[in-house]
Amino acid sequence: MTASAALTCELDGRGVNRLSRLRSEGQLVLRPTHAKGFEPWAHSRGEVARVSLSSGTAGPLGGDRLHLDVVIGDGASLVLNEISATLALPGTTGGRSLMSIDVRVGEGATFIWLPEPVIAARGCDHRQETRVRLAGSARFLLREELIAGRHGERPGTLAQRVRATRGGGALYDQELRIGARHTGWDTPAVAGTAGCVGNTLVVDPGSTIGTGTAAPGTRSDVVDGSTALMGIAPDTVQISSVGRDNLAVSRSTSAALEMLGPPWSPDRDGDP
Amino acid sequence: MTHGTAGLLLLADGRLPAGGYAHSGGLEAAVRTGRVRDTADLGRFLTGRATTTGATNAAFAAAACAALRGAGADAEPGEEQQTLTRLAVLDTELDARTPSPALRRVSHALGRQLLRALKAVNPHPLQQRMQQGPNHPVAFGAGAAMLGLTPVDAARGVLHESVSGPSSAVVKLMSADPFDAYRTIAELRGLLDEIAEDAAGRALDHPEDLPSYGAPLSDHLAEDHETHETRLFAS
Repeated sequence: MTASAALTCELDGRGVNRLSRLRSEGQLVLRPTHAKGFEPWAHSRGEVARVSLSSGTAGPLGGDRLHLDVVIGDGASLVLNEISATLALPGTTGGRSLMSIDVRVGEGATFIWLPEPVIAARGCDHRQETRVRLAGSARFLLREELIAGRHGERPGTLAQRVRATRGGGALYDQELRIGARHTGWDTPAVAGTAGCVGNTLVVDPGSTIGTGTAAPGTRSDVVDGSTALMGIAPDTVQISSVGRDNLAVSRSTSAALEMLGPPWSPDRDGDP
Repeated sequence: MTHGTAGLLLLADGRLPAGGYAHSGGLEAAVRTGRVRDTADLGRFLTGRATTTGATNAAFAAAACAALRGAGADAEPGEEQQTLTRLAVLDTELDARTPSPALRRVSHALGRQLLRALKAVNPHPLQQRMQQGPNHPVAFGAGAAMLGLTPVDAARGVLHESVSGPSSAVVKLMSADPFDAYRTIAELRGLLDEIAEDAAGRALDHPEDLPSYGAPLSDHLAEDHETHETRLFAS
């Protein structure tokens, strides 16, 4: 199946976030939604636009070509979440499935992206390509997890690349590959025996979240033996976590976000 | 084809005074945390390193080598500037592929030391105009081109260093037979050749299209290593 969905959020003349484009197709179903629990940065901000992506059918299945286009206009703010996890499955005729996602975040805009985990089911061959183009003053959070197979299952092949540029220059680019076809993934240098790998990227212009004692952009906090909070740039961090399952990764990632403090984690002293 | 072999042996020699011997490629932290306990674990560790960091670094070394080979000794000033610009773009792209600040520091320090060594060993006019602390694979690729080597040579050299460093370090880190350690490299040679050829095939690609294979545990090991006061190797 081929499907292409698109979403544009813009700030109108009265300062209201409007979903000026919300196009669903095939299994990619987009709809306005409400907050699902705590949201980094956007928590209790009623003016933020919220959209859920839900899957109309099973999959992606081998052979599927899916595309999602997301645009957040200058000054606008959007939270995109998902209804359920993505289960990548093999197709009846074999072949790779591809999900490509293009994101553009304008000046002074904010995009908080909270997808549910991607699960590499046995026999799948799935690739996800995410390209994020940030304006110089764009704020961005992506929190994602990859799960190596369903319970007790050997994972299929999954490659997930996230590339973020800012003002045209490369800011972050990592491709994680798991599954038997990717020699070396289940080794002590890559993901070991983990069942889940989590990756969170936070870009907060004007802040110093990525600044460490050595120099700007060098923050380094070892959260636990398999989770690190690392400075990518003075205002940018990555949280990388590897764990037994997604519960462990989720906990460690939340613990790392606590180190950043509000608005990236719940305010423990004040009201929610 | 024997062209350049002597140059490659010089560049990939662990005894070249360019600082490589002070690094274990994450192995010291892997041994300390119990992720690597025996030679079989070492083989897995090296396989994971070669297919992620190694493959990415090999592609950048090959691309840096190709960028410089385009600009021959009789290059116009404009071409020289183009080469320097491409090397700078490659360096930025590789930084974006290195989320661990500890690993970025190590790579730039090794690049700086390699460039300094090559200025003395094999002087070339571009060395003065290059950024002085490039990422190690960028320095290695540029240095390879200055020795008349090809992109596949640069890729091979970088991959060799990525596995031989930890292999020679292992005997200092745990009780391991050095012959066993080197056997793991011998067993990997088919994979290393494959990765090097793939890297060379992409040497002229747009830098943003070059591989960016992540290795989360290597990042964690590098960060963890820096927090330890007593350590044998710098990384």
